[in-house]
Amino acid sequence: MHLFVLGPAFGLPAANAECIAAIALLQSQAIKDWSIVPTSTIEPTLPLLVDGQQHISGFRNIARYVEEKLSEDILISRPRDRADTSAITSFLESNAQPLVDISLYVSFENYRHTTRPAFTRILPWHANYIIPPKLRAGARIRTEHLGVASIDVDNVHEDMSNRPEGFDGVGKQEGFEKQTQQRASLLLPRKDTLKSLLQRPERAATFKLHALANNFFEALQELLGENDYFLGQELTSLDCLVYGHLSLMLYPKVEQDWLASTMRQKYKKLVAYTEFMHTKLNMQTNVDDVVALAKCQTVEDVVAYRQACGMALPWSPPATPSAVEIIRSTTRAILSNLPVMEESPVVTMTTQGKYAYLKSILPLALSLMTTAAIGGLYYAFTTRLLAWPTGEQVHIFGRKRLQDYGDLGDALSGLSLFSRQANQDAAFHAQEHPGNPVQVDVAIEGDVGR
Amino acid sequence: MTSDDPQPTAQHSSKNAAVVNQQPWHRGLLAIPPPLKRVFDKFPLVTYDANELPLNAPRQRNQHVLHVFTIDKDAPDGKLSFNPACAKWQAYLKFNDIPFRTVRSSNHASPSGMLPFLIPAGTGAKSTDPIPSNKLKKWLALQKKSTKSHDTNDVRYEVYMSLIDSCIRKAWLFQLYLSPPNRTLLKQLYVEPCSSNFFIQQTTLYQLRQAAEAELAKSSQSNEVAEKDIMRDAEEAFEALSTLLDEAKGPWFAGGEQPDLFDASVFAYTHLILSDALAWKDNQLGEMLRNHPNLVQHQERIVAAYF
Repeated sequence: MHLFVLGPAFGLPAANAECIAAIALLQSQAIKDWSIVPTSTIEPTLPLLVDGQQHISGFRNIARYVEEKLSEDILISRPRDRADTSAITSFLESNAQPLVDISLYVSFENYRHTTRPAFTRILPWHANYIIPPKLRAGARIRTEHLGVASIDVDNVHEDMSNRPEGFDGVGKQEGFEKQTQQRASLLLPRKDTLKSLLQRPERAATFKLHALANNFFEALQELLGENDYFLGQELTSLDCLVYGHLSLMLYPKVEQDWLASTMRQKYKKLVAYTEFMHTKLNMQTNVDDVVALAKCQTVEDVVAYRQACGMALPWSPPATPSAVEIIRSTTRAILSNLPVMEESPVVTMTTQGKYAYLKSILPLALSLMTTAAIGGLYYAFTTRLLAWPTGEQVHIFGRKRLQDYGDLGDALSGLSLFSRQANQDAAFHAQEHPGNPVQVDVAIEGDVGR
Repeated sequence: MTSDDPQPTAQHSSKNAAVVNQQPWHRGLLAIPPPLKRVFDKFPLVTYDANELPLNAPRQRNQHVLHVFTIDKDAPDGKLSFNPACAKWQAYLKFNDIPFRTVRSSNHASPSGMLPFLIPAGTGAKSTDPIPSNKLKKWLALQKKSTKSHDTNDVRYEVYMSLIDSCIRKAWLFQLYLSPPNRTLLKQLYVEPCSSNFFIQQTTLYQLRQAAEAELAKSSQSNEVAEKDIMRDAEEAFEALSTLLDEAKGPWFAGGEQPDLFDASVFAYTHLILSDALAWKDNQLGEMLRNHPNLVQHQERIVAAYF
């Protein structure tokens, strides 16, 4: 059995809650012959459990699979426990996930100083440009509705455009002196006043964040009650999932540690629970040791190294992607940043719709058609297959005589010789212009013509 | 000087007119020519009535008005909306005996961008700020001094609520927006009321489905979600709700005399899934629900008592 996870990071065995939970689950169920493989791709959804031919992804599916496979007394048998498990699972998904997202990804300071470096240590260089930004984008989408974007000071342009005029410029209207003062004060060491502290972007959202965190912790602490575990006296898959989320809130050392400090100050029971699970399952992980496993050649080497470092978890060397895989994922990442080619989320259905294939190639087909149309028009004009309407190329001035009007004019001019008027005319013109009418090539552009 | 100026001028001019029969040049220009004047003299002066208010202007301000998604013909008799969020609040208002009228509306009409919202009754100086759905509960608490329906603040209900808001909602989104057989139903509910133009309809449909897919994929790390995972989660959610209802001491989830908000949220989904109001072509959720008779009975009980 191989478990593919994204990690290790922050001293924990993985960088996301579901992966940690999956490791905790397998660790707690005393399964033999399993190993954790650090991987550098997030597709398909991690954690991914590979057992022989079967590929199971996502914590909920893994928990179901393990449950079926063992089908012993660890099964959550009572209906009430089953109900609680699914309810708390979805409660975690909708409440804990946003908190972790904000703390580790959306908050720019934390992302820059903690999350990003943690990924740099474990990912190969090319994946570093793809995976962390992608995870961050996902986290931002998930937390958009909470309206705490102001702690994300990375996005300066976006932020400014949304502000009403004069929103941030309280000092600006007060003229030059104030501005100089502000400039000058930048040169001096910064003095934090209460007001300036509250005005910093990360503080502005703090009140909201604390409310969110309190909502979540309070409910969870009440559910735990005086029990050792969430469903009484036995460790279940639910505890693993709760631990996965709580450990990501408690252990990473971040600059803005509002989440961990709230937890430590007010919810001691949850902290104790997390620390108890942490030591019970031996989840403490040294990132450098796991990365160093890549040097091991044989299985025996790996086992020996594990023992030498005193690793409690069955780590195996990181999965190295093939060159083709690297090129494919990189190309996809680059393409997905182009306007038309951006990847839209896919919901795979068990019964495919009639137009599923058509729909998947629609953007490509549309862009190809547009390019072809523009290219074709350009080609047609440059090769004069189509002409730009600029009027006739040859203009004849002085069309007074019938002879000038081609063969028919000649014939008619013979007839009109009888008329005096025509004769005089002809004589006059013959005097003035002996010979053919002047032909001038004139290229006329635009509507100046005629 | 100013006070006695006009008189002499008037006298003077009238004398002039009498004598020379000539008016100042500017008055001559502005005067109606005599033939036209004769024509106009024949017409009486008509004062038209003030224009009527636009058809969609609010009229009966003495009633609370709830703006919901609905198909036009349903609006007057207050039938349940086909949108679960709207149906939930409709049901909750009915549980609390608050009379209201439903009006067909769209997202663009709402101050918060979301339906439903409620415009409280009141005319004139009384402020009638619309109340978005997330403040409706607070507003209702203010309305009813005697709190007839007591909402439990039990943590368990809060936790189980997240089952409805995430698992069941996701499955609903999938079934209505993405399941290919239900395409016609989706068109009928959300697209055709917007426009009769074929191209606009197609674009709206495409956008709706994209938005639903984005919403479903939001919680997963990668870009892909499998239908069977969504449906399995929904199945577990129904199972959990069924267990919760079994444990409750009365006919309602919270165990009180009356159904409360939790019942309303469950009912909004179960009713729309089970009833014939919507012409489902593919109703996986309905099949799942029928495995839990107590949830079905819960829905029937509410229909019998309140609708």
